[in-house]
Amino acid sequence: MIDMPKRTSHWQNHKIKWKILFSKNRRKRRKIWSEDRISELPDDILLSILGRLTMRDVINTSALSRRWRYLWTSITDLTLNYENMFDDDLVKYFIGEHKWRKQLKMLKKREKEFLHLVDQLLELRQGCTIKTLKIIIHLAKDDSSYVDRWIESALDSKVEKLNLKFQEGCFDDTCIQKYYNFPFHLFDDEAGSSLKHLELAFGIMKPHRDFRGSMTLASLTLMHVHISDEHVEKILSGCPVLERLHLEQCYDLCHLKVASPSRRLKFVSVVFCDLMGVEICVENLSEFEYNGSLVDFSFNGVPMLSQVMFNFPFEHSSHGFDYVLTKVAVALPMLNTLMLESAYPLEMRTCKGSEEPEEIVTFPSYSPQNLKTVLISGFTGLWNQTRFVYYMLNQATALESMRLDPRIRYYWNAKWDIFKAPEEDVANVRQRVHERLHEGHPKACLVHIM
Amino acid sequence: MASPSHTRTVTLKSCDDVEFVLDGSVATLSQTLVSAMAEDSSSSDDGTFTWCVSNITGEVLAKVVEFCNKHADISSSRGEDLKEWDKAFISVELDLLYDLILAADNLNIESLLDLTAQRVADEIKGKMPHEIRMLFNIEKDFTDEEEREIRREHAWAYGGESLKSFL
Repeated sequence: MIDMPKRTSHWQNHKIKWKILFSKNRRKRRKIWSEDRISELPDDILLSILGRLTMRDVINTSALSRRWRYLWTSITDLTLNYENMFDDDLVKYFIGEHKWRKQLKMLKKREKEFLHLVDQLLELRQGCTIKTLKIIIHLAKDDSSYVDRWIESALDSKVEKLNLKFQEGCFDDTCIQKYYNFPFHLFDDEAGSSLKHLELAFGIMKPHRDFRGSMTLASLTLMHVHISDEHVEKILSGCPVLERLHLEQCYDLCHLKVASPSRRLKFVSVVFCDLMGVEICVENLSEFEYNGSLVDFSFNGVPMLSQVMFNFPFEHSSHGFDYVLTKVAVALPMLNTLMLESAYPLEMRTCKGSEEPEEIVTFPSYSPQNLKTVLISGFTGLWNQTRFVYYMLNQATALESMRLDPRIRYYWNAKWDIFKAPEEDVANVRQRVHERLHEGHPKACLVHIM
Repeated sequence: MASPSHTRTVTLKSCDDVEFVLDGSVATLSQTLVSAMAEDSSSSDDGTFTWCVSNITGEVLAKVVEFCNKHADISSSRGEDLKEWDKAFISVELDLLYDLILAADNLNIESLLDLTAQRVADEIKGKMPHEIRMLFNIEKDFTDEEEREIRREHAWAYGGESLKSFL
């Protein structure tokens, strides 16, 4: 029996272990080694631990012992990120002007190494299931054949979620950034029959003429992708079970037409796509989000649309509000929740909100029958903003709650974030709103200021 | 008919007979308890429910209960504060960490499983195989042949030039 105190510091522990390891007493030695409790944990727990590591660390574990040798191949979610595949910070930081050439040379070498490495990894895993494959790399001129091969291999492994992120920017002028041309030909036969989620950043989507679509694709996310209006229509018409569609900064689009045979398509979101017009015709659509400039919206055949979010960062909030009411809300009889982001930097700077603006917007006399919840963020209590609140309280007969948030929501790096508002701003807003809402308004209790 | 789980109190009993009384709302963090309570129809009138965990000692169970109480308390568990608390909570020795993992697995408490798995992952991060073996007492049981094969496979990981080499 080893006489070890019950609680020792890490260092003490080590000292004792070393002593025993190098002692001649074999029984004691064995006892110490048998304390490998981590390897005795169940597979699923070890896999959840491995799932939190970078690929480099994961591969390291395969050199630990027989127990760990092939454990990692059961990981079903693979993230291959060029930035954290290697053990040093060479890829992440710019080292300095004078060393730039040398760093560049090594970076290029690393890129090639990474490509070979992913090749090897996927080969090692041939025949094992892959549920998610996420690849993040810079794509140089002639690397797309590698990526094609990886996708093909993942499809063979019945991949469900494919996330391809080709990073923006290049190391120098000699590697002209190439957009990856998504290999639609791989989806022609049964191979693509498992893919449910596809996310592509910085690429080209150009389905060939005979593309028949995907019978399994449930969500499609395209960011910075070259895709034309026609090709969006073509892809949508070929995806009968699509549920979610997200288009972000796809500048080739002009008149976006979202028409889908899918009865499951419930969510559509369009972010900063520089459009001229948007036409939506989706039978069961329930949520719609739009960020960008004011464009022509045409909602035809969206009887189920109940939740909409609009953000017009380049417009006065009163114009945005007016537009949403006259052009959007009137066409949506089932509208239940309306979310508006009203922050417009210029507006906040010029008129502090207390004085009356030169132009007073007259809101239309229309009452949204089913509207229950209204959320306005970036609400600063400007004249036209509070008029809108007043108007909504009077017109929306079914209104249950109206939340005004002085904080500004903004979209950055593919997600929503919130600017914190100073305490005094919040207090000001609260005061202004109370003043304008004629204290005795019967519905004033529905208004919450966050 | 069993009363709804959040209104009942739960008594947890460790393998060395230490008892802990939990609020029903705290017990809902454990999926094992939730399903056990749903199945249990022989509820006593005062709404208490007793559950014996056969392979967890009182010392470990006390930690688990501490975790659940903190995480079920909505007023205190907000963002950054809770993260700090978690960090302090999980700074334990490896032996206790394994016990916590097994307890979290047994009682199926997702947030505790997450936290413990992350702690182990943080220990492995950035270490070479021999360092990981040393830390966790893993015995290298490869044959020479296997060893050579691994070296071949892993050449990329060990052969990389490091940043320091040209700074």
